[in-house]
Amino acid sequence: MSINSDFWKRMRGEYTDLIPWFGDLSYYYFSLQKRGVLPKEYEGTEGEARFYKDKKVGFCFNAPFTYQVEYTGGVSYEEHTKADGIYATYHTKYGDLTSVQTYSPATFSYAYTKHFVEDLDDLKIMAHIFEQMKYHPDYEPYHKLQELYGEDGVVVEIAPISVAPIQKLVARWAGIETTTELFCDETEDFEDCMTCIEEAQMPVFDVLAGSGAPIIEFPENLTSELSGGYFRRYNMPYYQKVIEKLHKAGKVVGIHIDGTLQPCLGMLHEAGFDIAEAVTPAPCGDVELEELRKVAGDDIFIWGGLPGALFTPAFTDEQFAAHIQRILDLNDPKMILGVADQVPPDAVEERIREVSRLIGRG
Amino acid sequence: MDLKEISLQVQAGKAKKVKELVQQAIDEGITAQTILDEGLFDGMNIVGEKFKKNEMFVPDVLMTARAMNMGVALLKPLFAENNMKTVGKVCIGTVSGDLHDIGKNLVKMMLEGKGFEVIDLGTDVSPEAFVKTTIEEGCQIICCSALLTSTMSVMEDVVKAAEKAGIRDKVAIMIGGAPVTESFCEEIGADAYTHDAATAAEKALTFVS
Repeated sequence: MSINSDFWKRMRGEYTDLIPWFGDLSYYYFSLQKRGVLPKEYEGTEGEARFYKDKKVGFCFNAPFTYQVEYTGGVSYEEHTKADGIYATYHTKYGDLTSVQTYSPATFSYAYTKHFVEDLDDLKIMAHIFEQMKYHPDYEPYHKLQELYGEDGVVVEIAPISVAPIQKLVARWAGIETTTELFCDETEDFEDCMTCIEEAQMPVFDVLAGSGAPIIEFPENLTSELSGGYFRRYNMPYYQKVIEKLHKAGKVVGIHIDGTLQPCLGMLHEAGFDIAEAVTPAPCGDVELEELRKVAGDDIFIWGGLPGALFTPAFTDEQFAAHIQRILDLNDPKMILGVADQVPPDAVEERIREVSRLIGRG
Repeated sequence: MDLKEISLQVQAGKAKKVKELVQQAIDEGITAQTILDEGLFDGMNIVGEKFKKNEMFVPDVLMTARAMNMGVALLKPLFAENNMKTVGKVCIGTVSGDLHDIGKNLVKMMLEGKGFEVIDLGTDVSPEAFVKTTIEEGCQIICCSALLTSTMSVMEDVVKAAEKAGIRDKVAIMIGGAPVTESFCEEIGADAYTHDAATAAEKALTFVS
């Protein structure tokens, strides 16, 4: 059976002989491009699909957004990618907000070195920006991708990065330190801005509900050590509200939780999620593989289990194979095998292909 | 006054209240060292313990550290020549190629809560910079952080750079970060791996006692 059909069988609670296997190879693929060693046959959109197919890895993400954003009220956005990083600016009548993601050539990665929001005034401008955003459906790219991957994967539609306003602040707009200071020093204004962003963003869920994608992924980059204290107060009520809308439209909803798991993993089903994705167990995460189900509860699908670090020379081939065997030994019908959260640039290439063989998919 | 009250306010992250209480304690003639140990550091250490048990989270630690530092700022001028008694000196940074700093910052806060003087080299720090600072500042410990698998190997370079500079037997090298493990620590010849910031600070104490 194909990866796609086995995936949906599991989602329906039906038995499958083999565990479905998906991996996000985009970071690894990007590093090959940057190093100039990506074989020609893998270039371009169709080449990337061949890359996944040849490595026998189920494709899962990278779906383009299902909407276009229009900025109104004099707001505009510009982004420039330079050799040393990505420079982004929102222009508004109340002032500009700028962020810098610095590029590290050694690791082919970007990290925020300046966030958009540094004080309460910036937070108010951020709320204004969201009020001026209008969402227009654009379903075509999803359908094209779906056609391209077909039975070799599951194309997942991505909600805005990040979805919950608190996650937007923590992961992208302000960083954890500024978010914490605003929360503590300016609680009332902080909460007003959160509410404002929540309401302004609601129309995007109508667009998502109307898309052809059966799965909507919330790209929250959730990590419990940052969000554990905020989750019940800010994340959960919002998730419950918007997921209800998506469930009514027949969507399966997942969340990207690629950091520490305790205590957030155990609250995700209550928040409305059907899938916890990018779940990272020990040795890189805070929960042992065999304890994941106990921590997550019985009702949520666990997608992940295979830390990206295991693909690197820091671990031996034997450790890699033993970890996969442990996943198979769980025999968990609500588990989807996935990399948590990406195959890194320094991966031992043979191991990418090896996963499929180890799980019996040839 | 009861210094436990300072500790409690530190734990609650109430910076203004901490400042007020520390000033009150100074006015009552309590020594700066006592206020530091029994009030400020006590509060930070309790939060560290709760952090380890997932009862408190990074935002709590950040607010606690901010409150503690507010109190420390009042006490600093009271120490002779502004020299607070420290338990040791640590040089900390995220290794080259890696720009992530949350984990490193947490360890720094926990170390300060244990009474260490911490020299923070920031992110993207080369092995040579770790070693140079350690020699110049007389640090007993180097703390290296990495979030990316592709930068973990730099930690081994730090160990080698310390050996090359002839300081390996004088400095303890501690490592941490999501992909780092105990076996990796052994493999590269570092002295300690800890999986959370509070434990890192406790472990650091063992190298200076």
